Amino acid sequence: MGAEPVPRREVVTARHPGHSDRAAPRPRVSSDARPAAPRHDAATRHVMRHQLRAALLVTALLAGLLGLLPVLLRLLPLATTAPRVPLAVWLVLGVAPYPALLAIGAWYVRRAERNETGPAARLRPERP
Amino acid sequence: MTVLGTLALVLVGLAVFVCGAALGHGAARRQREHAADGDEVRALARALHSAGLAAAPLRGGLGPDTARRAARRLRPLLAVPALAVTDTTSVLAWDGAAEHHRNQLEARLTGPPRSHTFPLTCDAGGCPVRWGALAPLTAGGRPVGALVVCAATETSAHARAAEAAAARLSLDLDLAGLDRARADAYEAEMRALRAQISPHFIYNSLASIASFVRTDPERARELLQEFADFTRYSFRRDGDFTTLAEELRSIEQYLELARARFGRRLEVTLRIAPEVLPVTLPFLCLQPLVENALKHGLEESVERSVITITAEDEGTEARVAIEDNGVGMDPERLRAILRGTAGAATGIGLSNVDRRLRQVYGDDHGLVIETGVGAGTKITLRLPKFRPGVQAPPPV
Amino acid sequence: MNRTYGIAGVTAVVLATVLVGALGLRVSRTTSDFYVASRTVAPRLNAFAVSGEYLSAASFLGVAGLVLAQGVDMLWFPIGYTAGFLVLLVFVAAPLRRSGAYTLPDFAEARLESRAVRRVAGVLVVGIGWLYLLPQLRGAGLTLRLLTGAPGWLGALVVAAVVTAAVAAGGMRSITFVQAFQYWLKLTALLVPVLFLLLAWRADRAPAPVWDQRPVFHRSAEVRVDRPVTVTVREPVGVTVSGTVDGRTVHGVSLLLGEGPHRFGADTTVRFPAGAVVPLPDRTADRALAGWAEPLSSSREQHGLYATYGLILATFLGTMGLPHVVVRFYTNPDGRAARRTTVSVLGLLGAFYLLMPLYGMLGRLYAPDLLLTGDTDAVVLVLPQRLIGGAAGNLLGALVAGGACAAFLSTASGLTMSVAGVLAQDVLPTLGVRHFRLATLPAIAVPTAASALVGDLPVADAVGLAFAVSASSFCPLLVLGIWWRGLTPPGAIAGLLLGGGSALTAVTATIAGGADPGWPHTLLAWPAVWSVPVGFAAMILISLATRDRVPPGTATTMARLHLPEPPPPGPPPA
Repeated sequence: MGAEPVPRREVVTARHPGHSDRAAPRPRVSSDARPAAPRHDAATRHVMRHQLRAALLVTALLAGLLGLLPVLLRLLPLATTAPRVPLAVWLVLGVAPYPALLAIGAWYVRRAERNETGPAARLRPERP
Repeated sequence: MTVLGTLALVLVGLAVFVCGAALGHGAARRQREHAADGDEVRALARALHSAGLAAAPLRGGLGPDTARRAARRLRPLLAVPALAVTDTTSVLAWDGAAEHHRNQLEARLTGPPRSHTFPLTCDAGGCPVRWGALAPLTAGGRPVGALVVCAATETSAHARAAEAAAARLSLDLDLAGLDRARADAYEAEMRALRAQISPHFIYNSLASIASFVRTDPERARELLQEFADFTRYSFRRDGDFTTLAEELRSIEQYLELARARFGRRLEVTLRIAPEVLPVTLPFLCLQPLVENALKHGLEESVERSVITITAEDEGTEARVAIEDNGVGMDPERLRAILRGTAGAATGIGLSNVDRRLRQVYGDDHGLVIETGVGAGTKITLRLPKFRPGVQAPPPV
Repeated sequence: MNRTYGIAGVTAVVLATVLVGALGLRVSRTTSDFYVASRTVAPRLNAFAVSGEYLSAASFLGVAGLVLAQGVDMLWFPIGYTAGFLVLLVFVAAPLRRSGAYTLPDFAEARLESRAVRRVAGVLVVGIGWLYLLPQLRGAGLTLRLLTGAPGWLGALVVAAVVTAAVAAGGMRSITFVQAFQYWLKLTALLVPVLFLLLAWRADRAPAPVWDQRPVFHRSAEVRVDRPVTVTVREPVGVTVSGTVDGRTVHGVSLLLGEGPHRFGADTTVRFPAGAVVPLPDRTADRALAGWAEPLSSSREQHGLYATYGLILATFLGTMGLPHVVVRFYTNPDGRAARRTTVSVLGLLGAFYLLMPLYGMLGRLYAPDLLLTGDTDAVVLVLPQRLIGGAAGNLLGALVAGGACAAFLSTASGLTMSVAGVLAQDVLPTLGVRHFRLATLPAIAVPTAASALVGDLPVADAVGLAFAVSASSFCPLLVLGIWWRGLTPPGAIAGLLLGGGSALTAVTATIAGGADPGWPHTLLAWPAVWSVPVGFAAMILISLATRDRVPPGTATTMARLHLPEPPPPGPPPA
């Protein structure tokens, strides 16, 4: 079996030699650009509204907790002037943000998934 | 301050440049147009070009949006104060002045549109529209709407121009119909391929499951479940596309059923890079290739068959390869199969997959097959990770 | 640092990377584990990979260096790097995945149905990718210089060669496992040494660092000056010098440095006594030597609050537009998994960045001489040897060097792959998609050449600047594209060009060093504060002006982006 010469393979494609080097045309696909059914549209708007509300809430939280911090640290003259930076500043900037970010993120994921499965699912009615 | 100053200067300069370029461009165009006035050939070329531009939106079919765009481009060409595009019952788009005639025109749209001229009356003093010429728009020889040209006085030139423009627009409506027909043909082809999940396979699977019913009922139950899952996937009706993960899962079910029949003679290795599993691809694109490998590996020889399925990440594409150590194919015959000149019933699966891949991804994404008589076969496909319109079925 | 250990560490990491990359395919031989082979990447594994790819040389080396040089304010960098993922999570993650896009140009085309927007986005992706690659290559040069004494450009060249070879040989067939491995490597390479360092610090009676303008040599220290530097001595200090000082060549001579500027020549060794004040380099004369802290520091001192908000805006909003981050979201099977991945990333990055203040503080205590030489980014690399020494210090040093190597290797390869993808698909269309591997060459060659050209200029700021460009171009595109139906192709192009273009101009001016210190420099060094609003405003206003150009498929696209996918196996037919 091993002594037999191994037959060679040949590369075969259906490419026509005439236009082998042309860049691929972008074919139209029939499923594209069909207008969404109004039923979909209502469900989409509903989900979008709820998700956007959650996202903006997180943004507000982020702006309130972290966004105001530079001003606060500037107003309470601790961070930059004293030769010994108080431990509290190190903790506020070096430790505290990370658990807070993780907690906000986890809360958002729970809320977003509820938005998708809860009322939105009820609003998405009969399957075709 | 120097840098801020420089920056401001640069920005102002940029703005001035943009404005200047726009003005200059417009002036140059106007000048060109003036120069062309005497030159009939150039004027003709321009008219033909504008007519083509005006008709182009209708390539997407006759709707309010496409009609509006066509009317907007057509009116300067015909040099009339107002112009309307209608379907058989209502005005889809009105471009130009005197839109208060819209209802009047709509009232005329009863019955199939035919060419005629008609007066338009209103109390508004200085209304530039007193008269209209209607020319039907057809698609596939059937009237589907009308082009209405409105002017202050009745001239035969306007009526003729309306006729000619309507004929030009109808051409693109015909093309839109052809597009639709082509899409329908494509869908029909997809359906046809789907129907080809071979009856042999169904028969063989059921037969081998039957052989386990007494000896190993548990195995038979599992296989029946696989069979049910496989057929559910293969016969599903929604969408033209699926993900590589789903396609591979159906292939696993297929191979599980095949192993029930061939036992230890069939050895399968999967080498999958998990990041390419979400790639979208035409539905049932790999299954015919695996079936092909199985046929060459087992049904035409008695030795052990080894099938390797590889899916690798390659930047913007996924590369999928299916290799077997079977009897291989004669390259000449394979070429004939891919050209579709090998006669009926041979290798339909291969050429069909090849055609569908080229249709979806372009001509350079067809199958690449390495084979020779007695040398086994390796089929490679490259699947782009993203192509507009190529998406797994949308949420229902 | 002991060269043999360091080189061994780096080599081990390179070999392990290539090995994991080549063997990372899931192989299954029996049908019973086929199911495993076709299972998509779980959110947690993907989160490891995203974090592994994201934690770059700027995170591994740069943050600690910045903290050493400028103190607690610099902790806004890691906060921003992490919080960027929270913004990405709430605005972008799931819809981006559901769009089916692999790259940012893909998203632009899917959402706006326009090839023109796609091309503009492609050019911006390449620009951001190159900007981001610069500091990676610089970090590589720094690491290699410390390990072997090789010139800085060589390190960049080595990394470029390794990445190109790995991609060309198909060694990155399955990059997920490689990147996940790199995350754990990087975390280990910081976590293990820091435990030993803290023990050593306690044994040293736990002194607390003092953060005023005059860092002090805690112990007697020998400082090796590689490149000529001019320093300002505030208090007269007696030192022992071998080499060139103030134009005189001396050898092992004790002399008193009086108050005022002094110039050390190349290859000079200076021994300072314990308790001496570290003379800081003269910033106007030797700006380039001060490393990546420098352009920030001069402006930060004057306009700290503005700079901090510039940094916050750039990093919070810029993460979503980083090309190598976006492509990793494609690996998720659906939008829900994309969200879960992102939230895991928040935890993983937090764990990593918690260690950074420790390195910065210990560096202030035990490696203040880096302030003199300007190599503050090396603080993570030199600390194990400084505090522990001996074989243990060498081993820990090798571990840290390996981690640094993993940092710039993983980010550089991820960036190169995504830039090459865009180059092959959009910028060099005549080459055709077959030439993806060919496109890796320009993808890495350009930033390599640039890093050699700009050499000692403070290019490492480029990370922050890349964030700023991304925040002012892709953040508007993604946020408005996902949440606003009115976005039109002309609006998107205008926003990308005006927002991204103005930020890019500011970046170029900063890197070229053309700005005067003071407000102009601050405005250019922290462009995000004004360029992000410019991007958003341009996109919204032009879209409103071109309302008739809203893509016809917008409603369908929106449904696809926001409605959850059906569960993967499909409900059984009832």
